[in-house]
Amino acid sequence: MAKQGMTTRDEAVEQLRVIRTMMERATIFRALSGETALMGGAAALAAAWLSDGKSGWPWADRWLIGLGLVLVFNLIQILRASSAHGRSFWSTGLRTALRGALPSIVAGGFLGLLFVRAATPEQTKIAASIWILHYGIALLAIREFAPRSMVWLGWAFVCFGLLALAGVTGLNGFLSGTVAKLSGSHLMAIAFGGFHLIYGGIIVTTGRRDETAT
Amino acid sequence: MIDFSQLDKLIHEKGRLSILTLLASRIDPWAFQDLKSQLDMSDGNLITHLRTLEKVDFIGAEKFTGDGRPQTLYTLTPTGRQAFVAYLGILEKILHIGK
Repeated sequence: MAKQGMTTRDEAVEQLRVIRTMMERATIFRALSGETALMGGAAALAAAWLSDGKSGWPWADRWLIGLGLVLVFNLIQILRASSAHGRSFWSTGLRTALRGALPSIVAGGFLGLLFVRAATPEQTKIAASIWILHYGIALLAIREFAPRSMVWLGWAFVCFGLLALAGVTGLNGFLSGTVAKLSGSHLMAIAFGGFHLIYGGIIVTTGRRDETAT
Repeated sequence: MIDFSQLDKLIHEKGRLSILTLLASRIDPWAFQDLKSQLDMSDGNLITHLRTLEKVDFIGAEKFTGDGRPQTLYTLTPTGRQAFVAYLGILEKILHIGK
C-alpha cells in the first residue's frame, strides 16, 4: 500500500490515541465513581448505624466524620489517577467540578446545620433531607462532564430529598406517614448508603468507566 | 478500497485534532485558558490553530467580558462536528482494512 499522508494502520492508531487521551482529559471525573461510591455507601451505612437514635450535634458529628473519611479517600483516588496519567492534581476537571458543585454543597451544608442545632428528631430529618437534596443538585451541577449514570444518581438524590422534605413537613399525607416511621439516619442511609452502593456496584461490576460524557 | 484523499488535512494535524476532540467531548463551551492547560500549547500556537479552525467554520468563538476578566469561549459548530465524525469514520475504515 502506498504511503500518502496517513495511509497506514499505525498512523490511524496514533491519531485515535490522541483522541482517546483528549477525551480522558476532558472527562476526568467519569472514572472516579465506582470505588469511591462503594466506600461512600459503606461509610454512610456505618454512620447511620452509629448515629441512629441520636439528634442534634451528636448525630451530625458522626456524619461529618464519615464525610471527612470519604473525602480523604476520594482525594487519594484523584491523586493516584492524576499521577498514573502524568497530569497535575489541580486539573481543569477538578477546578470545574468544584466550581459547579461547591455552591450547592456549601448552601445545603449550612442550611442543614441550622436545623441540626434544634436537636429534635423532626429537625434532624429536615437536615437530612436538605443534605440529600443539595448533594443531588451538586451532582447535577457537574453533569456536563460527568458520566450519564452520575446524572441519574443526582436525580435520585434530588427526587428522594424532595419526597423526604414533603413528608417531613407534612406536605403530603401518604409521604408524612411513611417518613414518620423513619429517622434522619434512616433517610441518610437510604440515600447516601443505598444509592451509592447501587451506583458503585453497577459501575464496578459492569466496567462502565468508559461511558461517554453528557 | 479507501480514498485517503478524503482525510481532512485540517483535522489530521495533531494539535487541531486535539482541539476538536476536546470541543466535541462537552456540550459546554471551552474557555481559551482551559484549552491551553489541557493541550500544553503556547498561546501563539493555540491561537493559530483556533483561527485556522474558525476560518473553515469548524469552531465558533464568542468573546465575553462579564463582570470578570474578558475571555473567549469556543464551541464546535455543526460543520466541525460533521467533519470530525467523518474523519473518525475514515480512521475506522483504515483500522478495519489493516486487520
